Amino acid sequence: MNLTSDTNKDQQNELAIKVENMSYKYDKTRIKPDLFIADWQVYAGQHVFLKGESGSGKTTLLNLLAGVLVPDSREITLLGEPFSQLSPQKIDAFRAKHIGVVYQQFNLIPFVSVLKNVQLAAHFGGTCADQVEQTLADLLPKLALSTDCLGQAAGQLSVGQQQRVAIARALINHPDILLVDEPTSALDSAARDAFMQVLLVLCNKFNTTLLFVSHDPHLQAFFTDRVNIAELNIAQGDVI
Amino acid sequence: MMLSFAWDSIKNRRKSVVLTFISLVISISVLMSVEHIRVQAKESFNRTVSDVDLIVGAPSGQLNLLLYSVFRMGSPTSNISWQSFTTLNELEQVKWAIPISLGDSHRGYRVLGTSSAYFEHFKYGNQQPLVLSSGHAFTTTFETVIGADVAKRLNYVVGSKIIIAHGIAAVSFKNHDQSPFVVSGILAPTGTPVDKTVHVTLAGIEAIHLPSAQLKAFISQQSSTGALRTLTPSSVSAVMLGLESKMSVFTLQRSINNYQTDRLMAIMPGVALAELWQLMSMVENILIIISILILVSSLIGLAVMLLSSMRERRREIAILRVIGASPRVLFSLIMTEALLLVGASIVISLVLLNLSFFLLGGWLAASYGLFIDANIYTLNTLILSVVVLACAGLITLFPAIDAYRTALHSSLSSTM
Repeated sequence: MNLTSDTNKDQQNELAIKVENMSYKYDKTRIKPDLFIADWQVYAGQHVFLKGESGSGKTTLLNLLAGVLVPDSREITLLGEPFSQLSPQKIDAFRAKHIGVVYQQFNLIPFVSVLKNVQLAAHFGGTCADQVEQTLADLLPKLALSTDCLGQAAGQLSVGQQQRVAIARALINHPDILLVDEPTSALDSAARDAFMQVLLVLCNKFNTTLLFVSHDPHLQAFFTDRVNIAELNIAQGDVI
Repeated sequence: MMLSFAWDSIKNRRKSVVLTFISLVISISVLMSVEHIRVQAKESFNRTVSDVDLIVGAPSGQLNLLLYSVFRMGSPTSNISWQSFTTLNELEQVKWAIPISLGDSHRGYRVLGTSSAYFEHFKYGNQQPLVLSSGHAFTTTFETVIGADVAKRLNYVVGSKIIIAHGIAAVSFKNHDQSPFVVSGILAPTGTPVDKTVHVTLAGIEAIHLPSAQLKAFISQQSSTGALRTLTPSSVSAVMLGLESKMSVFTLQRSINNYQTDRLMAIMPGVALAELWQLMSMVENILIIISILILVSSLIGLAVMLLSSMRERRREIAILRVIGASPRVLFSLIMTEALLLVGASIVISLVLLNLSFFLLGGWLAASYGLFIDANIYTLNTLILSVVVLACAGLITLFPAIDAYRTALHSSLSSTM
């Protein structure tokens, strides 16, 4: 089965994500994998909505693409690099430079300031201080974040603010791929829609490939490329 | 950036960090102070006598001779004749000779009969001469020069009269009360047994042991003439010799040991002091072992703190990994934090110890005769600090490796 998120594929010829015969088992003693994807491709600049029921393997796939999990058969290619075959150190370096991740819980370091949360990501991604300043100046108004909040500890921010800081952190290195996992689950519908608009505008601006994971059917309206994890996962079982 | 993050992380765990910091400061302070006192005690011991090439006494044993002649401990088994002293003094290799006569005491402090050569030639520490803090050296038979400790403990000043007792017991039944001595001078503190010694003239020692009638006659003659050393002693306990050339020490020692007219034994104080310190090496070793145990316990405390903090920091570490920190960076982060903590503890410990020794120096010298230099910033301390840091680095390997190996998924799963 060859599933390609097809909008714009005529215009985009560079592959951002290529998954081929990738399997993953949580319990390594089992024979049958929890997740098996035969063939899936996402082109550079595409915005893909990955939907599916809870426990269907969306987050597992996102973690495999982020290098947080290591597939049992190593067949993930990101931006032309055999990502899943890289050493752990190279995976860390690749992730820092090319991948932004926004988690459901945002995963900010609560005891350091907003600015330092962003600067740390920039530091690991090798982005210079001038560029960080420039990108932040660009991002903050779009994310409705004031410069005053930069000095605040991330743990003291509201959920909405944390969510926007998490995006700022994920985008600070101008990543080629942005992986977003259910970031709107704590938001009301108005805030959710506003967030989605900002996210898509920023991804367009930075020409970032977006993989947006959610089980919320309302969000699929923001995307033209939609993939159901159930169609991708040949293993067809509950993953988590 | 990572240094600043390490500091933020330490601040975030301030309660447990402060407790560990206090524990480290206490442990390092104890370690440093024990080591400093050990080194200072050894130095203080070795500086008891200086520039004396040979000590000559009756044959007994070199430690016995050293103990009674330098440390005023114990008693000579027998004396050497005055004739032997004059012979030694007249040898061409001998530059100066100090006779010493022991056997009496004053309220628990040993009395040492000697000549004015003692104040001229006896040195301690790094060839430091004796200095009078007040008064002058004795000029008449019944004058005495007392050590700093004697003056302080017994509240004596120049002009005070003291009565010498027969024997060396703290309480004596036979006092030489017919012939009191007048304090003519008080020596500045030296940190040596000199501080606890009452120095009198050899003639004075001889006089107080005269029969009562002869003593009375001598005192009346003394008061009319004021002459010093009108009595020549028949014997002395020991003689300290300074030689013209250090090269002749061995030769002279051999000839003195083979002296036929009197039974003599010559020892080199440096060699005897080293032998004596060897005897006390057990105490030194115990101090070293205590120091090592203190260091080990404090470092284990540090490791326990770091390892337990790793549990609460699992998520923080996983987040750092997700935003691109390599395991190597996390390893360095844990290492930096530990070394920052230990480094700060060392600095605070050194400052506290410096201050403590500065403030307590007088009390230690007065109470225990310990002259501890307040300057703790020595090469030895520097080496010890580096050892502590290296050991801290070594023991931090465990939590640092734990951070290195932290599984990303398991740490983030609770939040995903």
